[in-house]
Amino acid sequence: MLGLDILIENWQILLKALGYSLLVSLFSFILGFALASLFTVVRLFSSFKVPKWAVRAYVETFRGTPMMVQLFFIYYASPAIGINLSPFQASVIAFALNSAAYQSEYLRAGLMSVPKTQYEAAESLGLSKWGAVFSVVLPVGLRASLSSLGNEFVALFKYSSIASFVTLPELFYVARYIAAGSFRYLEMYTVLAIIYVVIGFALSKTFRKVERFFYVPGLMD
Amino acid sequence: MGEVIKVDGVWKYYDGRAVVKGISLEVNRGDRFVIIGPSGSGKSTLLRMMNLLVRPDKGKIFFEGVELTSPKVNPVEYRKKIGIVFQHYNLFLHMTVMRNVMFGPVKVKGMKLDEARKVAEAALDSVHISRALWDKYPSQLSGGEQQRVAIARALAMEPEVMLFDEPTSALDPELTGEVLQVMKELAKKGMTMVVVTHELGFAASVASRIAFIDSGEVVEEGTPKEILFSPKKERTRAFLNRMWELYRIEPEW
Ligand SMILES: Nc1ncnc2c1ncn2[C@@H]1O[C@H](COP(=O)(O)OP(=O)(O)OP(=O)(O)O)[C@@H](O)[C@H]1O
Ligand SMILES: [Mg+2]
Repeated sequence: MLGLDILIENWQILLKALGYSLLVSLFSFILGFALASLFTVVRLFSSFKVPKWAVRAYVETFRGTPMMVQLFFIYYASPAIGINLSPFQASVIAFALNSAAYQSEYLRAGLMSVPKTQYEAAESLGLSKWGAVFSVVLPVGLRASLSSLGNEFVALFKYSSIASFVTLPELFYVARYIAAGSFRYLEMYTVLAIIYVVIGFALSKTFRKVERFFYVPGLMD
Repeated sequence: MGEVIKVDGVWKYYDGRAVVKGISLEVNRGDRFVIIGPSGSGKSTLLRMMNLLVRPDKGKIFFEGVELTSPKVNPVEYRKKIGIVFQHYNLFLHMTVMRNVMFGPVKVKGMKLDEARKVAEAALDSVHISRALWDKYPSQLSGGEQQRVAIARALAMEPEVMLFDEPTSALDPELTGEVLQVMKELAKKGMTMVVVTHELGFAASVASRIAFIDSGEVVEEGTPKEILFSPKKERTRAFLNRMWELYRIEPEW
């Protein structure tokens, strides 16, 4: 196959690029999850109006604007307030902020699928509001969100290619570089597509495993 | 003091409509207090006010002399002494049978796991849930088994009183018996119980007192004999007639 030699010639630099793609996805996913958890608690369980409203505005803003715009904004606006972010830092922050908006939607849907009667049963035994939320609503709700969160991670991995526009040497950036240097565009982009498909598939599989690990009979089916 | 629960002039409104209208009643230690009445009459609302799952808009609720409705009292502290069993069991879906029953003692009383397990085993034995079911999840059990586990979950907290909200009305007729049997055994052991039910046979054989509730009011209250077999009020009569008809039993009057 024609693409094979391009892969053999450049495997080291491609592997490193893959590492960047995965790391950006992983860090922004985790950071995004932490933020999303906070947002979700505010949206569902806070008794105050203003924070609820602020979170909604945040979610709508980040879901309503292109991720590339968000990334450029973080990368080019940060020096204006005296912070110099590396391409990697800017990408992680931008993707995390973006992913937090989506993840909080998934978490909210998952938690809202938990019947109120589960919460009542915990309260009736003498648990406090937060005790009931943590030991009953979250374990069930998180399980319900798991497959959406898995999809979000795979989406992040694919969209991490946008980081190439702020010169992060991830997969797409490196592929473009190799293609331009060797004029073997078709082969390089074919190889790139295959890498994305294979890794994306592996990630999905991994998440299925996680889901199966947390599976409880009769809970989500 | 004999009085476990006292409901004093309690009102509850939903969307501006009164669904409980100034109900007062007293449940004494050892009572099997049965509440009957038509659908929508406010029975569940009344029962759920007894552990303040629903907060009354007016009136007071007392538990062992403590006013739970007082702003100075945190009802969470008292719920552990008031067991409740729901119509739809409401077992924790992500926990095994054993974990469901251990949950209260561990999370609320801070009991050690092995100690809680012993308590849970005793509770499960008392509702005749066999060992083979202990590691199953709620969805793998029949309705009758789930409801008995729910009773065990409440019992594991060693409550002073047990509230039951139509515990058998979601069950197939052939599963109703096993749950009623467990409740009868509980009554024999002297448990104070408040039971909302449509099972008139159970009421007749187990109740120490019966209250008939209609449109948010206690229409009539008395012994099973008084309420079931010689009701004074026309509304009680009409309701019982409908119920007996449902069960194809001829009333004695
Ligand atoms: N959370 C709620 N919000 C609004 N209305 C409610 C709520 N809970 C109960 N109601 C209304 O209050 C009335 C009494 O309800 P409740 O559940 O106490 O009746 P019930 O006697 O238990 O009836 P059933 O035998 O059908 O269980 C009903 O008209 C019901 O629609
Ligand atoms: Mg009811």
